[in-house]
Amino acid sequence: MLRTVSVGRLAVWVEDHPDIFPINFTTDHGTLVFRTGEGTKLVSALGDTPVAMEADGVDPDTGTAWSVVAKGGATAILATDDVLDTVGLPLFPWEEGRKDHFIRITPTSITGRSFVVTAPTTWWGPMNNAPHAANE
Amino acid sequence: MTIDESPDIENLPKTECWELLQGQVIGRLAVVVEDHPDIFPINYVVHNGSVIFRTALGTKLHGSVNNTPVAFEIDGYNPTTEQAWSVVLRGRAQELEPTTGLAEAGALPLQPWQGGEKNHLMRIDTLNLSGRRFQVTKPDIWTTPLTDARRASFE
Repeated sequence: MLRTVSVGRLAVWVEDHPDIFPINFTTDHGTLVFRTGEGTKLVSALGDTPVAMEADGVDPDTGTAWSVVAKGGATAILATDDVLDTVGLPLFPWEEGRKDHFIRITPTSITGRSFVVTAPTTWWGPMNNAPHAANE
Repeated sequence: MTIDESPDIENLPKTECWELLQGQVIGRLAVVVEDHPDIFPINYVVHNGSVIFRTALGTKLHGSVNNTPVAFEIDGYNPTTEQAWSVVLRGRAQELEPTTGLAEAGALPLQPWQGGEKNHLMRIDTLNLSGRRFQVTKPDIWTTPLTDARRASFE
């Protein structure tokens, strides 16, 4: 499922709270790679705390929603060979600007789930339609 | 360290962030579970200036969010203008007690996509709200000579 989408969300730990960023990513040999510039995302992703990456989608034909969460450590891709390999990946950030750092997430855990989206009426309490009940 | 802000990124005013939040039904919640961040897609609703969502007792989500700092994110893409946007709300999650507006919240149009019992309503007390919008670039600007197919034929 991760290979079918290009936008995900990255959760990182920043000082004393979690933060979350939308990212463009791609998969590479069982790891996830994204590009970023200098800033909070880079500093906190490479900190001691592992990161989590989530992607989700809905199949309109089947009404099935799915989500996948990958957790693991993030490392900067530094070795020249690796960077050259990585540049060849189909990774196209949506936002322009300098994004000189390639970050690789090596998942230690990947979990996914899918379920059929319920009709909204499942969540209507008795109070919601009480005034209508008598007349309708 | 300073963030290299591109001039094309528009920081959204808080009122617009709330308007965007009110226009969506699903977002992603980042919480810390057992010392590492985790992400949960959730259905939510905006009510009285805070984000409210449902969860079930005993789940990982419920256990990890009560009275802890969380981050909540929504994003979208406008194909007409080719602009992408995102809103990130940071705050602290609190369970709504039955006496503090559960009945009121029960009447909210909060309809989780997944069936199953989710009787606990959580509210995120907002500490920080930010949003941004930018023009989505063409993939071309990220290509390099190494990825250029035309080059491949010479090698």
